[in-house]
Amino acid sequence: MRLAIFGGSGFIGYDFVRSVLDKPDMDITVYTSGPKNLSNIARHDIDIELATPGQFGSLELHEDTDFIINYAHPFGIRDELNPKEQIAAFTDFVKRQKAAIPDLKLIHLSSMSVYEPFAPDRQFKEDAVLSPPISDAYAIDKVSAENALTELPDSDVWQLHLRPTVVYGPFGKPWTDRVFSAFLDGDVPYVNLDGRIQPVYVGDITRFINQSLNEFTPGIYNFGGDETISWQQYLEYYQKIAGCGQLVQESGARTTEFDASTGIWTFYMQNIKELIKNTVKDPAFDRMAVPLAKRLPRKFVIWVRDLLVGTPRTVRAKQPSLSFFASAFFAEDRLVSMEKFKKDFNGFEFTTMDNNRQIVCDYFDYRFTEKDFSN
Amino acid sequence: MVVHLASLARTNGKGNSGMTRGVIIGGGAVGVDFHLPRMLGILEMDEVLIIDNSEDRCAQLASRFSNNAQVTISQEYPKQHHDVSVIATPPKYHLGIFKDLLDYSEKVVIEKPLTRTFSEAESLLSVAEGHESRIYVVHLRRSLDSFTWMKQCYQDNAFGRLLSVGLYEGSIFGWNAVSMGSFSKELNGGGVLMDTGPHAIDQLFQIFDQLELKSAYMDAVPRLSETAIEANACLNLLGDGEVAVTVALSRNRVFLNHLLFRFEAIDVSLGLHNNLVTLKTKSGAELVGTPDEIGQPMTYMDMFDSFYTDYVLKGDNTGVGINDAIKVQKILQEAYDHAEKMKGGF
Repeated sequence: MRLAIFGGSGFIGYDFVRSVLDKPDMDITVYTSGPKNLSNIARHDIDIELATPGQFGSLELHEDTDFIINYAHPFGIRDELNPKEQIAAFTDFVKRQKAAIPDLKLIHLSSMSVYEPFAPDRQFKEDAVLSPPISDAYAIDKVSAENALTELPDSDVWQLHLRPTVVYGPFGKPWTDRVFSAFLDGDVPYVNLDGRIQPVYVGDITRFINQSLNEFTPGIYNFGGDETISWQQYLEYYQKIAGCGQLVQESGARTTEFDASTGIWTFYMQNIKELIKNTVKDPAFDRMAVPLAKRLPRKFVIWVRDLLVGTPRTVRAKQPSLSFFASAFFAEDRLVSMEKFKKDFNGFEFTTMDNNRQIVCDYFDYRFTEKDFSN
Repeated sequence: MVVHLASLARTNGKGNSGMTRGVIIGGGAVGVDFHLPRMLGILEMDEVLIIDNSEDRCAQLASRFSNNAQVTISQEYPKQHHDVSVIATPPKYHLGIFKDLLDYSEKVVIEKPLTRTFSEAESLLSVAEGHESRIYVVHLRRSLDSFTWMKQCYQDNAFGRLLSVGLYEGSIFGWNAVSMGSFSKELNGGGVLMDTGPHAIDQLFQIFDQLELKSAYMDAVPRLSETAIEANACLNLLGDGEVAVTVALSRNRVFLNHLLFRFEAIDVSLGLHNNLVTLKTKSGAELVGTPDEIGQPMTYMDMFDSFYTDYVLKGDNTGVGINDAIKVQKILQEAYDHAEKMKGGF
């Protein structure tokens, strides 16, 4: 079986790549848009090809390719193409390959973010109307990619789209590394962590995609774990493993919401570091960071950037983790319906966070301590 | 240390009256973002030529420097005299380029590691015979005075018997590389050991006169692979014939980036990327500071500045010459030749 994997060097993609490395019947090529994310995947003897969005027009897959698996997301400007243009370039590429390879199938990783804005107590179904707010670029791009791909002819027989919820596991920057890092930095302030989620382990996605390679069922499916828990429970899980830092409830004075009475300068000084982190690291938080960053005068941005990463010869005091977790984001339910998935994939079993505790513990030791793993 | 640039005599090129010319071979981020500003600023060169074999990259650079008359871009090396030549390509090309430009260069600055293999390094040494004093290997961290201080403490037996040493350098790789060089076995020869390894081993050589490799582990062993390169390397060395030294390098783990000396009575930790020294007693008391009077830690940029001011500009390559670098290269080669696959990890 021949697979063309886009975004295979990222968190979820790499987990899948590792799962097929030792399978003699799998012939894989990983396509990547740049060298920044290759540390993990370069450890393996696999074909890695540079394919930036600007090159999609001339990229041709091997004629016996069975699947395109797409984990990539069009972050920012690449090859002078904005996310919308990148989506169009990728869609054209898929269309061309499908015409050349009639048996080709597509597995596309989308996100539950397509349902933004969520609503309390509501489990969003796959047929819900998708209308993310204009400020939520990440969700809009996810919706655009799904729409563009599903508009290709007969997509309902050769495309599988998955909308995973909060994905955790080894090398998961947004919802694993970030949480560990917050506790390693010290106490983690929050205001309200009552929002509920259905976290899903990265290995479950990998297992399901492997299953789908052999028993392909097209369609669009939500992909959330069996457990519905609060963000409070989710963060406590990590705190116990990290063994440091505490969740500290605050009144709300240190949220990332802008309060005019604070004054723009004070707000800047308090929040810019977090804003930069948000914008850079986690697209799910663009909805909070980008609108705020847009309000900030450019010269101040440059000044603060220099302050944070540039020239002064001073030791930066460790700041308390002014937290994402103090945002209203964590008070909101983000739930999806698994009814359709359960109906069509009755036998598929999700693992629980408790099942995966040892793996996450070992990963913590690996990622964040100097423990020797030679032997 | 504060360096007043204006007070330093210009030793490069043809003096204050003549034009000074430099060349950078390799138009990647290291050459353009780090060497170029210092050639124009600290060395006060009148012209710098950037050579890159990629047409696309040359076009990008030409556009970027279109308003800077001091910088020119070319795909071809012109074989003309340059006061300072910088080799900032993937290591695969170092030896060949060095051979080409040595006769045309007053000073040659070579990015670390010296070459891709030890055998290439020996060839380079042979080509350089008689010209060693003109060659500078970019072992930036030689600028950290904390290592000079530590060497003195070690020699003076200031903290009692040294039990063991651990060097831990790791962070999530995020270098904004222009090419795939850092991840190419063909171009780079290996992974993290070829990347931060030369700096780390050089820092150990600032403390120990001799280092002997005892064992090495990697999560990918290039010797046994077609294309795979390591993100993690762990070397077990013996310092000065008696001190156990562990070196752990990583591109996907978060370490404290320090060199930890475990003495009988106290632990001393040196920052690998700055000149901070942390002394910690067995009772837990901790003191953090820097060895100099200013008490300010150096940044990466400071180290780069110091490399140019203290070595290249002054014309003194003590500690950053090819004979220093080849000792480092030998350890790297031995590690690659004998590495076993790590059994644990992710």
